[in-house]
Amino acid sequence: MYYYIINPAAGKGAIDNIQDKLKSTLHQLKIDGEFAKTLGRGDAARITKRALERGVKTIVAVGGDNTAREIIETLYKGGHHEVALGVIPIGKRNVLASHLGLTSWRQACDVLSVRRLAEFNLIRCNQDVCIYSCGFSPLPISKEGPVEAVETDLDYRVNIDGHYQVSGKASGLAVLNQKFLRNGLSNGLVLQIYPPHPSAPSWWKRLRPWGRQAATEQPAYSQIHANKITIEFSHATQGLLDGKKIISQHYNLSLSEHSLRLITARDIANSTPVN
Amino acid sequence: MAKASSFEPAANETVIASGVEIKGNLNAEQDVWFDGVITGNLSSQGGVSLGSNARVAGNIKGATVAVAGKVEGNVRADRLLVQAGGQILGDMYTHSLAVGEGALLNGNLRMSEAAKSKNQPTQQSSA
Repeated sequence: MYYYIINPAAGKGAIDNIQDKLKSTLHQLKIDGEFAKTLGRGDAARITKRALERGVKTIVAVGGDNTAREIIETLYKGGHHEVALGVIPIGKRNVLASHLGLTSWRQACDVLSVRRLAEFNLIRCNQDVCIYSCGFSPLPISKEGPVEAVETDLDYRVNIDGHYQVSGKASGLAVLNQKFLRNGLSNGLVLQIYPPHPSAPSWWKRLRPWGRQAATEQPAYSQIHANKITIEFSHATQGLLDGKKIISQHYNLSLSEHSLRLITARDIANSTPVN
Repeated sequence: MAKASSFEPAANETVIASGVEIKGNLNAEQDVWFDGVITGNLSSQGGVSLGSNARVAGNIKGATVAVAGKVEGNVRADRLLVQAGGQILGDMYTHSLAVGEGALLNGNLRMSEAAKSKNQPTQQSSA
């Protein structure tokens, strides 16, 4: 049985316009089930726990990334690795849905009926977990006062699997599950390091008649594969875990021992349609 | 002035841009594109490409190794390409070598069958 957890606030109340059409579509596809609406932040977790107590095996997040994240955290912390999670994207942010190849609520319904499952390990970051990415950036500067915000860079030091250290300056860092990057890749961590902001405005470099270097191709970011990543910054930074904000100077990242089963549109290795 | 272009790394590549510093040994399963600084060994089961800004104080090992930067250490590769501006200050073990004009090589070169990257050269072969 499918259990649909709907966030009525997602996408500025998008469900109001599509609710009847959604239920009709699910009925036609023979995947209708029970529906529950959240009342506010944190309510998706409460409803998920209630559904799990009743033995539900498939939960569908009808909302955006925040709704999906609450359900994922609840499944992970409760050790419910056998439960499958689907997504019908109607929220403001639907990054997880896009990683699963979901482009609209109608297409997501078709994907739910096919029920192609893929297993994804979660990314553990300090005391939290996330499913697709952790981003690290300088803390936002207050906009109050006459001084304009200045672009700042991060001084970082990263330990990769206890084997080597990476250091430098960066405008930002990100850690992702590589399985989302390309079909055929297994679960694994990827560290992306974005280059620091340019030290001088481009017009100044154009004026300089000397020291011009031939333009050389540089990567948009550095990329390193790892199982365990420890990041240390010179100052406290903002971490964004699937949209959830945390602040710290030190981050320990690793893959979860157990994976989560997600219903996906993508032809990911090890994914199989389940009747 | 020409604007430096940027490229998106392939999902399974290890890519280290200029400005990134590494201490320790980096071992990769897939291709490595390196333009940073490393104090330690750099090895890959695939190819290794060093950009013009690359500085390696250690040994390099890969199936195909292309050098446009500076290496202070030994290089083992099935195929070794030293591009213009590339420098290797150490011994080279390869069975296929190409060197561009302006490259600098300062070390011993072994190109026998025993010099394939999988094997350790243990003794000199008689002429």
